[in-house]
Amino acid sequence: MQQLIRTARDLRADVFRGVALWFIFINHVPGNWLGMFTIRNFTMADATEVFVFLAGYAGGIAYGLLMLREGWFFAATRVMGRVGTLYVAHIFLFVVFTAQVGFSAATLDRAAYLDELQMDAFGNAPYEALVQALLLAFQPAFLNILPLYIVLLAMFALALPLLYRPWLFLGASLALYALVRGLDINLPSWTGGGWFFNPLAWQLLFVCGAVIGFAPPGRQPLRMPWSPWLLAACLTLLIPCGAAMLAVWHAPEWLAALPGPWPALIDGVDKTSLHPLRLLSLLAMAYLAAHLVPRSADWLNGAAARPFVLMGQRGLPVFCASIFLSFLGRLALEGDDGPGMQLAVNALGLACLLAVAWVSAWYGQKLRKAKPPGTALPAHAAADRA
Amino acid sequence: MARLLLALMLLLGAPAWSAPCEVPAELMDGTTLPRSRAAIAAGELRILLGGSATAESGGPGTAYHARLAALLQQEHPGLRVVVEARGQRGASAAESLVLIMAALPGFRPHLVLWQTGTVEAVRSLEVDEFNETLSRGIARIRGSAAEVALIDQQFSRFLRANADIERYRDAMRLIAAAEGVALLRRYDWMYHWVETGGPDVERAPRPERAATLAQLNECLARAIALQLRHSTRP
Repeated sequence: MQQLIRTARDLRADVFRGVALWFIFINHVPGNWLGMFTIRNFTMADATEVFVFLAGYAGGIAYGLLMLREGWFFAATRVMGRVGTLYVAHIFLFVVFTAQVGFSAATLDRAAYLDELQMDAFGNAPYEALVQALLLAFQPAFLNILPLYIVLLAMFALALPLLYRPWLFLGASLALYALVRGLDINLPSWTGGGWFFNPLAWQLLFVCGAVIGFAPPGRQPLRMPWSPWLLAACLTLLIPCGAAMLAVWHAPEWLAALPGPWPALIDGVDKTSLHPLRLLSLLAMAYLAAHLVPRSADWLNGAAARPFVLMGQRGLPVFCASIFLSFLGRLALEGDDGPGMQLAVNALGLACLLAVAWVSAWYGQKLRKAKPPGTALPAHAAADRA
Repeated sequence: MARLLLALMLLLGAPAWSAPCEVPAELMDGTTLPRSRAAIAAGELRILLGGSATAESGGPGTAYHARLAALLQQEHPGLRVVVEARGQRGASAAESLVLIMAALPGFRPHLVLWQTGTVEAVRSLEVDEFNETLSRGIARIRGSAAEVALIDQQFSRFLRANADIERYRDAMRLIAAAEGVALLRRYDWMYHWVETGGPDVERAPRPERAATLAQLNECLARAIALQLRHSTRP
């Protein structure tokens, strides 16, 4: 495995991305016991925030370099190629989901008690459901991160040149975020309301990642310097939020007893349009991770980190695989959710994710070696990994 | 064999049996219900149960609001207990709130049990809107001087596999914690019963389904009665 890992890059981003992908698999399998231990239990942000931020970071590095070497149009074309791949993957997963619901419903032989479970938007209006799915306006449960990612990347393709002006990019992104939150703007959804993850708000997190990742030669990339004040600010944010999340799970009556605006505040933390507390929580965690974990930390090359680094480096296929595998995981736990099956789902799930990463890395390496020198694009490899 | 016996007992019109549906202490909510406690002390307790289909399900005598009334009566012999239910199949939180609000002026309950969240998860309705409806609803019900307790989703493997149930459970847990209302954890109760050999409607063979459903309603009524005892302790 070691020789498949590219070490000439920031392994910290890779390992956290790998863990986030694993958490996405876990959180997409309700009833999975490991779900009680992922970061959503003790922070306002969850694996989705980590994933989007680090996708922006990887995108900033890879497509930024590509744009430097080949120009904007070429880099944008490659990004749109990714968008196309993701779109096809999403439609495939939509078909899988529909089949899964049908399968579950057929085996269940629905009981009177479950009258309310009219899951079948597809069965009620199949043609319209198809059209709406193609327009990304129909997003069944668990199929909402891919549409977000698709729109984020498509927007990024257009905005790539702004990477040269990072402060302008951040400013414009923040302005859009504020506007969208202020006016309550969202993309339309077929089932009413807007998208589960509003891309017009979530773009801010992606852009934060992208401007931090983009490092043209001869210019210092954007960095927040280490400062005890910032450390204190991060902890002042993360500790009370963590305590509140733990209280929600384990001692709700304490939360209700808190004086002041805390309860109402926690009530209002929305995920759809990336509430500022979620955004800040993620940025605070990223700040802490970037400064407290040295780039050269030994454990990043250790046996425990290695699988996650590899998964993080092959983000796209592993992400699609984690969504697909979560279908199988849910079906398995629907049949039996005892300790044996829990173990099987989690062990097999992680093994499959790792296998996908391994095969993808191995194939990528072979492909690069097979190309006669001179024909490969210098930045091709980098873009491959985003 | 045990199930067969159970069905047989039901067919013969056996009285309420001791269903294997204990609720562990950690699945009880710690919030108190002072107004209900005062109502019990004063001699009359009116409870309104509002929700979707399951709020009105079950045949005569087995619908769980009726069983709840009977259990409370048993527990407090001198108390006048009235439990009314307002349910509608497929009602969202907003729709069941309308049913509840309509019943408030005439019935003037001391306690409203608002059973919701399943339809939202099934139809993937907006979580933010669900949150808003719950907050608004809790405020309006409190405005009528009644106490509120939320009853969360039913447990179902099908639901868990096919809907993003956790999001809506989290939402209810958050709202209940933030607003300081009791959350009756039906999902966890039902899951516990399924795990410990209690009623499991999804796995019951067709001929036993009606009996299992009745047993589930009995268990729910008992669990709610237990929670009320817990929340109205002096």
